[in-house]
Amino acid sequence: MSFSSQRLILTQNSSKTIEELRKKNLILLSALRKNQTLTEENEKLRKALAFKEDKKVEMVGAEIASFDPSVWRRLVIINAGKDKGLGEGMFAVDSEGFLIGRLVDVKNSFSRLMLVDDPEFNLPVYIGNDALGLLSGGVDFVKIQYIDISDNVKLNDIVWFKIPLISYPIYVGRVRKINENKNGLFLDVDVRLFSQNPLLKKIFIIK
Amino acid sequence: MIEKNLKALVALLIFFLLDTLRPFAYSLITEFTFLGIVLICLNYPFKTSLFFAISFGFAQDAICMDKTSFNLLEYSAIAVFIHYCLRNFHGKAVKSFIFFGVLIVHIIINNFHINTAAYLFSLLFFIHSSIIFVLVNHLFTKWLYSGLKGNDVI
Repeated sequence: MSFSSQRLILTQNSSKTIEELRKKNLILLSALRKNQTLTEENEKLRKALAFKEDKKVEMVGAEIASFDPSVWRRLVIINAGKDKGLGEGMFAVDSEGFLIGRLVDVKNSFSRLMLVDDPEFNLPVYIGNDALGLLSGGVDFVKIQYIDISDNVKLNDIVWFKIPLISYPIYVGRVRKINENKNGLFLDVDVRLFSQNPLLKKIFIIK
Repeated sequence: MIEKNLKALVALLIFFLLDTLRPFAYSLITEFTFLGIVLICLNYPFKTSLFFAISFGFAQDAICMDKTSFNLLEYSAIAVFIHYCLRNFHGKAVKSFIFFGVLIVHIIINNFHINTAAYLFSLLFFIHSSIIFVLVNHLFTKWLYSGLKGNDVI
């Protein structure tokens, strides 16, 4: 066998090997990505479990099935309903226990969840230690209205609320900006939400 | 003509799916179905546009559980308004003027609908929708007129 034909065979063999290695590399990469996704999901579930055990609270896990087609509203449909014991008015939190929204419509196998930044979302909340105000959602900013000027509200104060019959606080966000109301009697506060990732797949409803 | 109508249906179904699945969540502030309806109204005869506007307006209201039929009324009005403008105004830039006019009216109506003046959000909606519309319009018209005979083109 001549030197050139030997070299040709060698080149063909190595190109085959390279092709096979490329395929193996692709398979390994896809397995790695799958592993990373599973690790992330595992981490979220661990956090949720820790929250559940720490606070001794009954929660139901659900996933976002679809969004409201209008971008002017913040409503999502989740894949859990009356079949899992859910009811209207229940609150949804993320894996770290931060408020996401409230159930506004519960059907047998799915529910409609209003996120905190929906323009129709309203909730009485505490700011810092004892200041009380009304949190209102909005596509631009989430605000707290009607805070007494004498209340000592500062930037970065934590915004939280309590669910009746449950002793621990649910955290919503931090104070981002403080403005004086037009009539000068109240303060209006902009809030930076703790849970700002609507792509999150796993959410938990507090029963 | 059937092929052209099917293409419109497929495009609108894809836009509708994009709106309900939101692969970019709320980072991309636009409504694909609304842009699709405007696109169809600018490129199709009145009856077809009105049919699609009513159908997808109804579908959107059904998903939103909106009892006021807000989208049905708005999309039908858009179809009528766009065809009125196309019939009465002529010129190179008329389609662009119509699009921006409809977009601004849509933003104002939605601000009233949610009872809030969301300035920053409205500005972002205007910018994102304009960019997406230019892109979608280019791709859709290219796809629409590929493989159509001369007498099919309006």
